[in-house]
Order: sequence, then structure tokens, then C-alpha cells
Amino acid sequence: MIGRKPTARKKKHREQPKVPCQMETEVDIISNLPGHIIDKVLSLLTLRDAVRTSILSSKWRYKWVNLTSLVFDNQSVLVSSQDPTVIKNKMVKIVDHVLLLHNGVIHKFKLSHRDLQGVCDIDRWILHLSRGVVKEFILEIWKGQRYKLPSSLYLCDKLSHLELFNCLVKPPSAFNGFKILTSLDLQHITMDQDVFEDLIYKCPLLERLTLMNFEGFAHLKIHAPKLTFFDIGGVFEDVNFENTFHLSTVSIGLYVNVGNDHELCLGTTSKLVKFFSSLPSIQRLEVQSFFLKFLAVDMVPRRLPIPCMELNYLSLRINFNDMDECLAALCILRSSPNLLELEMLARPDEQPVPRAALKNLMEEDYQSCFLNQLRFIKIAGIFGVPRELNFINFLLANSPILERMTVKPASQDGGWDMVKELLRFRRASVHAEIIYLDP
Amino acid sequence: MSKSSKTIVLKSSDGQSFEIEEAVVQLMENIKPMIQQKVVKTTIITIPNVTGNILSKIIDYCRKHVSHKEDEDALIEFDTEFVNVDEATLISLADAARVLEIKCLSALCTLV
Repeated sequence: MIGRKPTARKKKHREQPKVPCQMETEVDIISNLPGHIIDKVLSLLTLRDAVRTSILSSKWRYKWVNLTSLVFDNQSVLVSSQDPTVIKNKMVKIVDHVLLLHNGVIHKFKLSHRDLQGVCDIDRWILHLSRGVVKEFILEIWKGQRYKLPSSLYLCDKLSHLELFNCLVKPPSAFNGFKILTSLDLQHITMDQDVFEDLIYKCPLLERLTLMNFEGFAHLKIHAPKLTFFDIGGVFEDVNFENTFHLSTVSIGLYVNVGNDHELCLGTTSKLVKFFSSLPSIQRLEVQSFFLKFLAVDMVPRRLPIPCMELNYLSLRINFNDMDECLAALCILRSSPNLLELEMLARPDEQPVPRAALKNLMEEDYQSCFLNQLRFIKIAGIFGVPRELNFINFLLANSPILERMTVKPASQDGGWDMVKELLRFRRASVHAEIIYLDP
Repeated sequence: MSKSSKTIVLKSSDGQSFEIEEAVVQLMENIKPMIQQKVVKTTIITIPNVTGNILSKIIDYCRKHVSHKEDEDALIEFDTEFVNVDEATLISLADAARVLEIKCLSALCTLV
């Protein structure tokens, strides 16, 4: 055919690529999102990335300044040097800059950089926060000695969550508590006995309390009517719960051995009875380190006067060679008809037990203990000695709806003998599985 | 297992300590379970509201009743002498007998 149509040539002309046009439209969509959505997006970034959006465009210059949550940690503040002075200088510069440029309210402030020591610049930042309405304050000093908190912290009356690590707490005498504080987390802190009692007492809405490794006080008087969660690990002489009728989750670890020489007193309520009678709503209980031994120091009754009807999870760190601890465990088990899950972690003897103390539990000690709701048992750290195996035997024989028992020994030695014994035990529950885990 | 290796000490409300034998404890119903449960070598038990002077008399009574269990006449003689005290002391002895749950002594004090 002669003479092609002129239109055929036009088709060879390449189409303009559409991609750049699409990108332009996308940026516009993000930039034009409603303010609160942008705030939400920025709040999900690390502070460093959020602040860096200021270089995207003139529109974005001050979008980050409305952030309500400021987190200064190793992710948001990158310092390549190990020199404490360099680190300090850079951090102070960054925090000062951010606080100065920030606009609006700060609800959450967290300072937790692993290389920052407790410097007095922190005082200045807390003062700034105390003039606002900060709700969550988290301060973790990872290096150096206890950081003494400035008095302005105690003026932050809108606090609902306070978390401190490696600090010295010494409020002024006029301090009236944090009236709306619901969550308090104190770890590696130092404070006086009366300061501690006062603090708890003057925070009437306190629901969660965590105390780990504290110094300066040894008598734990917890008066907290709204408390539901309590987690403590440290060295103390006694613990008294007052008016804690809603406390449902408790974890207590006493990190020092109470020893074996104790004076008993005729007529006083035993520590075990007192402890449980002040926790009528307890649902989850973890007894760690030497706390079971502490509770078993007095005369251990056969059962508690008032049973723990709500208790459905119990974890005990127990020395199976200590008869007092075993009797205490049996007392609790006998008084917890609704227990669903039990965990027993063996604690080895610190010193070899004297011959006079090597008394075995009698059959009558194991009687009248019906674990009718118990479904799961976990035993760990055992060596396979008769005392441990007797207890396991007792558990298997008295748990009619048991589904699974897991046994994890402390070492490989005697594992085969232990398995042979476990195989032999009668089980009250036809559905019970016994799972032996390698150490 | 030798039981005599255990040391039992009773402490009065005013701080006096008295070491006693396990046989003596058998008469004190309230103390007996404490000794049975606690396997430590030395058990120290404080008796609140009972002074050293009264506690010492109580221990004498228990010791006498343990050592002369078969000799009824000697016991009657001892008991008569024992309650031959002023009213205040008698009341204290009765209270202590009640706290420690020593049945025979409680009965004796109420008879007087």
C-alpha cells in the first residue's frame, strides 16, 4: 500500500511518564491531613524522626511542635561519643532546643538515655514541666549515683503516671501527694520510711504500684484503697496492707534470707494469716525469693480462717527441704478452692540443712486438700529428692481436673530416675498430661 | 531422731528467759503444737501478759507434775502449797494457766 496515514506516526511519540505527577499529589494529601491525624502520625515516630520532619518543607517546619509526648532515649538522641561530657552537652542542647521550640501542652515526658548521668539540667526541665499539665513523667538515670529530684517535681499535680529509676525521693514537708496519680513505678530509689508511707497514703487514687530494689525504708505500710496491682522486690522487714480490698494482682519478692532463728509469740496472728486476710480480692499471687519463708516463720495453721475464693493463679518460690515453707504452701492450697494454675519453683538450700531440721511432712499434713479447679501445674528447678517427689505425688492425687503438669529439673543428673518416679504416680485426673522438660 | 537436742526457751512479758524441757511443754497445750511444728534447734516463745515471777511458778508446777506423775499424794501436797498464795497471785496464775492452756492447773485455780 502506498502512503501511510499521518496519524500512524503520532503513536510512536512516547507518553509522558505519570509517576512524578502521582508523587506530587501524594505529598499534598499527607500535608493536608487534619492536624490531629498528623499529630498522631508524628507521635508514632521517634522524637528524632518527628523533629526531622521540620526540614521537609515550610509547611512541615512547625508541625512537630504540637507533639504532646516527648521521649528522649537512646533511639531519639543519637550520640556517637562515649565521653560523658560530650554526651551531656549534646543531650542538654537537644532537650533545651526541643522544649524551647515546643508549643502547646506536654502530656508525657520521658528521659531515659543509657549514657546520661544525673545532671542538674534535669532540674530545669522538671521545673518547666511543673508549670504545665504533665500527666506522665518517666525519668531513668542509668549511670552514676542516685539523682536527687527537685522540689518542682512534687508540684506536678496532674500526674497520673510516675516512673523513676535510680533517684532520691525527698519531697518538701508541704508536699500533699499526687491527687490523681494512678500508677507509680519506683526502681532503685532511696527514700525515708515516713516519706514512703506518706507518699502512698497521699495518693488516694493509686491503682498500680511497683517497687524494686529500694533503700531507706524497711517497713512496708501500704494504705491504698484503690490499689489493684502491686509488684515488689527488695529487702524489707515486714509488709502491712491496710484497706487494700481491691488488690487483685500481687507479686512479692523478699531478696534476703530471713534465717532460721526466730522468736515466736504466743497469741499473735501468724504472718501468713495476716497477709491473706488483708487481701480478700487476690486473684494472682507470686511469692518470690524468700517471701514464703518469711510468711512461714510463725506458727502455720492448717488452713486460713477465710479462704481465698478469688485466687486462680499462684506461683511459689519454695525450698522443698524447709518444712515450714511446705506447710505454708499446703495451708494456702487448702484455702484456695478456685485455684486454676499453680507454679512451684524450687529454691535450693543456701546452707546444708542441719540433721535436726530434716523432718518430713506426715501424711496428715497432706490431708483435706482438694484442688478441684486446678488445671495446670508447673514445677521447675527440682532435683528429684523424696520431699519434692512426695509433693508432686500429692498434687497429682488431689487434682481431679488437671490437664497438664510440666516438670523441669534443675540439672540432667538423676533425670531418668525422676521420670521413672513420675510415671509411677497415680493421677486423679484421667486427662492429665505430664510433660518432662529437659533442663 | 533424738528429741532431747531441742532447746526450748519461754520468755516472760518482762523479758525473763526460762529454758524448759520438752516434757514440761507437753502439759502446755498451746505451746505443744509450736514445738512440734518448728524444727529449729532453739525455739524461743514469748508469752505476753505473763510476768517472769508467775511464769517461773508455772514452770515449777509443770516440772513437779511431770516428775511426780505417779505419786498422787505428793502432787496433792504440792498443789495445796502451790495455791496457798494471795488473791492477786492466784488470779495471775489462773490467767497464765488459761493462756498456756494447762488444763490441770486451770482446774486447780478455779477450785480454790
